[in-house]
Amino acid sequence: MKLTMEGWWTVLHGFVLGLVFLLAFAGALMNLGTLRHEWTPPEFARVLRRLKIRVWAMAVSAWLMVITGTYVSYPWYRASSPASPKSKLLAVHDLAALHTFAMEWKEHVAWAAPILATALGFIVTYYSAELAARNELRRAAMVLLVLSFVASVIGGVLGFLIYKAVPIL
Amino acid sequence: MTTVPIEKTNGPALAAIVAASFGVFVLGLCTFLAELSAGIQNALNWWPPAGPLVGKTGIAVIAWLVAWAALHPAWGRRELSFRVWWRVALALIVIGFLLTFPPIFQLPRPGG
Repeated sequence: MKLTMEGWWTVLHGFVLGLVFLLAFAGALMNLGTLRHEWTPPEFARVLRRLKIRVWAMAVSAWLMVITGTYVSYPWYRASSPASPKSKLLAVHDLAALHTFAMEWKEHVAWAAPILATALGFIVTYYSAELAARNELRRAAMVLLVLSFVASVIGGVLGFLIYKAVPIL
Repeated sequence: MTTVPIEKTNGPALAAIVAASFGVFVLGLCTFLAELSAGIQNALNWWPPAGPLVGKTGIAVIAWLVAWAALHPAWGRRELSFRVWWRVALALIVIGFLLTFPPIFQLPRPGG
């Protein structure tokens, strides 16, 4: 099967960047949740370095996802032509909710993910080792991490459902 | 054991958190306001191929960055009430998320 240009952008937007975000989130959650100052300095430094890499990987992949989604994929999706995914969804009564609910939620809420992930990246970088001693701030960082993930997952899952109904190949 | 002294104030963290939550709130607010009138929709239509989405998200990103640029120097050296500002931030994020939920932001639509 040969992919079109739109298909390759969809693969990059939803699958490649989505996978990077997911892996970075899982690693960052583990690092933040287990960051302890009881560790030996080399072990502590290693976990802290990985945490910084992972939160910034989350932020960068989230920005690239929303930028490619909004400026590359979305214009194709919403084109007025009858062959566009939006036109196809709205033409079938049972599929219309995939536009009026799924796409309309996804396109907006997903933008919260990079904003929250960037704030998290700043906090992890700025406070660095102090995060281990600041329980309140570490817990807040974990909440930001999870909220960024939730926003991105809503976009990802709804995008997958839309893709299943009107594949872009 | 790694000794970690606390030397920094919590102001920069709260500036980043409150600014980000303000950005999420503005995102939700723009999403809701765009449904109120065709005039607002048109004003947000900064790039026609993607429609008003570019204006809504563009304003949210600008609001976030402006808020951060204002709060960071103002709170940079201060120790603030974490509990109060964290609650404010969470409230802004929850409202922002709710306003991007179609059954809520589509309420102003005819039949919404």
